[in-house]
Amino acid sequence: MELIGVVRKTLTSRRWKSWLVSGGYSAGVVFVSCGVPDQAMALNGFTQVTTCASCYTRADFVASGIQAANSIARPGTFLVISNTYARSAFVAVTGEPAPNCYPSNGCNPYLINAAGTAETQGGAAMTSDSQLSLLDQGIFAVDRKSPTVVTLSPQYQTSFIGSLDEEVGPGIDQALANKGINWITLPLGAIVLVKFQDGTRAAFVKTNSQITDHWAWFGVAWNANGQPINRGGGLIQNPNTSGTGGGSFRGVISHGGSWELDIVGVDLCTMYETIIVDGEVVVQPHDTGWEPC
Amino acid sequence: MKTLQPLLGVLVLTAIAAGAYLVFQHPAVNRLSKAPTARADSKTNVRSNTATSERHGAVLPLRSSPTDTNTIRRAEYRKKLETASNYYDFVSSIIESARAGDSDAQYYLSEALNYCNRGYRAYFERPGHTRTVDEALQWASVRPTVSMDDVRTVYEKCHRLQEMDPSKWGLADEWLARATNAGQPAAEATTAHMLFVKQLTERAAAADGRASAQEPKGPRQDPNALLRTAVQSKDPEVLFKIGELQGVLADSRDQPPESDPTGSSTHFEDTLAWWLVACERGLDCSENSSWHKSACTNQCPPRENGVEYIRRVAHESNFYDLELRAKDIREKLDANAWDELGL
Repeated sequence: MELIGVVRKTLTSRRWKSWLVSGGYSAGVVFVSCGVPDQAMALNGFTQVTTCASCYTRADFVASGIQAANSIARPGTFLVISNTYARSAFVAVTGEPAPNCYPSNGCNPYLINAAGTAETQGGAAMTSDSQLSLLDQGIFAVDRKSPTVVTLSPQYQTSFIGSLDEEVGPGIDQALANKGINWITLPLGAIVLVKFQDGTRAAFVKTNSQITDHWAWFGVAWNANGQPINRGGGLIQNPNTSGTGGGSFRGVISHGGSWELDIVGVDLCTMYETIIVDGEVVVQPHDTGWEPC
Repeated sequence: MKTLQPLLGVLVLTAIAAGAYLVFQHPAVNRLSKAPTARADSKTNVRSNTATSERHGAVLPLRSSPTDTNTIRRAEYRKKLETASNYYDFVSSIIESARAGDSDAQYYLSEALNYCNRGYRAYFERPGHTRTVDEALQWASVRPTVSMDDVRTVYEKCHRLQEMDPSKWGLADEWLARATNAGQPAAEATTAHMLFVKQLTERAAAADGRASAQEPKGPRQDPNALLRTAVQSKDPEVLFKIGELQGVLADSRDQPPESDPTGSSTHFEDTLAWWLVACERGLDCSENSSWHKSACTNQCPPRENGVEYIRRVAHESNFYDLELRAKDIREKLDANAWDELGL
């Protein structure tokens, strides 16, 4: 098997940085267990990470989220990631823990009136299944089906900060051409992770097949220190508010992409994100990620 | 009665001659008849035969000429837009029809305005400065993926329009919304495209604290529903846009792909199949068509047309499979099997 790359994204406290591992092999559609628990304590506001074997529709994800909530008899928000398809959803689960139900008295804890809603990263109810793919791409910053990373020539743009799509776009076309890829053969919605000369990184999405204006920023970017930034270079505030939590996920998917996600949260929530594709570190945090909570 | 017979004969002959003129000389039909085409539109009573279209390099049956007046009118507008060397003149020629409620005029007006807005954003407009054409050409000359020909074309078609007060014409998005609400098929497909793009870029908009740049206007906000309505027109522009949207349409389906769980290898083949059908049904797929120029920027063999491009690109993945996919699309369109088109 050929090592083809790893994408790893971590939301963790500093003390858990040592958990980070890497690896990944092209082996068809395979989920690889990474040895850390795939469900841990709540991340923030009881967000937990869980996986499902073959979730595809919103209904599949909601069912998986409810099952996860039932298994710990606790409502909350569950980040559910499909092992087979490049889709993910936040599932907000409501319900009440069954009273007087404890393993000690022979009862498996569960939720009464458990119900769930698939949500976007912003907390809005998903209205179409296509949003499952968008959320997945937002979480992993690449298309898990086919991670594509390019280095932008400085003649097009030297930094993501303050850049224009109109200046970056032709550079993406050129970088893809250098890899033997004609941009028009990529499907609409394809994500490309772009590295700039100054160390900034950003994900761009294909929006049409016209000669101009076919790449747009996807809304995910980092500065040279691996900190999430906006177009102006300002740090994006940590959307998490408080609490503890975690969970982890790691997997491999076919078509040249393998990736890894670890999420572990304890008392101080900080986001660290490492992305490695084709053996190359694309995003590597140095010191601080998202903090404080 | 006898005196009326010669007059009746003249009238019949005149009617036949007029019909023949419409079929063979009407500008829109004439253009379409040169395109490689396939099948009879279900609304039309058509003749078909098989022949090789040298222009497109594909062995395809000649398509029928459309008799539907809407189809002809749309083809006329499309032809006018494609051949216009100056969009100021084009917009001036249709603005009154658009204002009077002609949804086809509204759509092609929005297309012209959008083309110029997009082209000027790409090549000329920068924060605090608008490049001259020489500056834009200089900028393009050191970027191999930017077509200097396209820079010149955008300038020639648009500079007069861009120099005008935009309030004179109205906003492209507003004309598109009006055409969409009136049920103009290509407008419906374009609005569906914008709605998908809005989903793709709303994360960026949120990160920067701004509204989505691609926010479509109007009450019809379900992109799949818009496409399901639009495809019933069998308008070649609609078929092309559906092809372009295969990547996001696959993501919006509630059934996973059967043979390829990730689906990534099938999207472009589906795109090509839809584009092939669009070419067959009258889309401009000549070597100078806008979509073919986009696909080719400095990369295609000289004189290659759109169908030849599709054949060349598909060759690697198997042109026979592509033909099968295209055949499947044709049959479903002809059978009005809208629910089976993956929309």
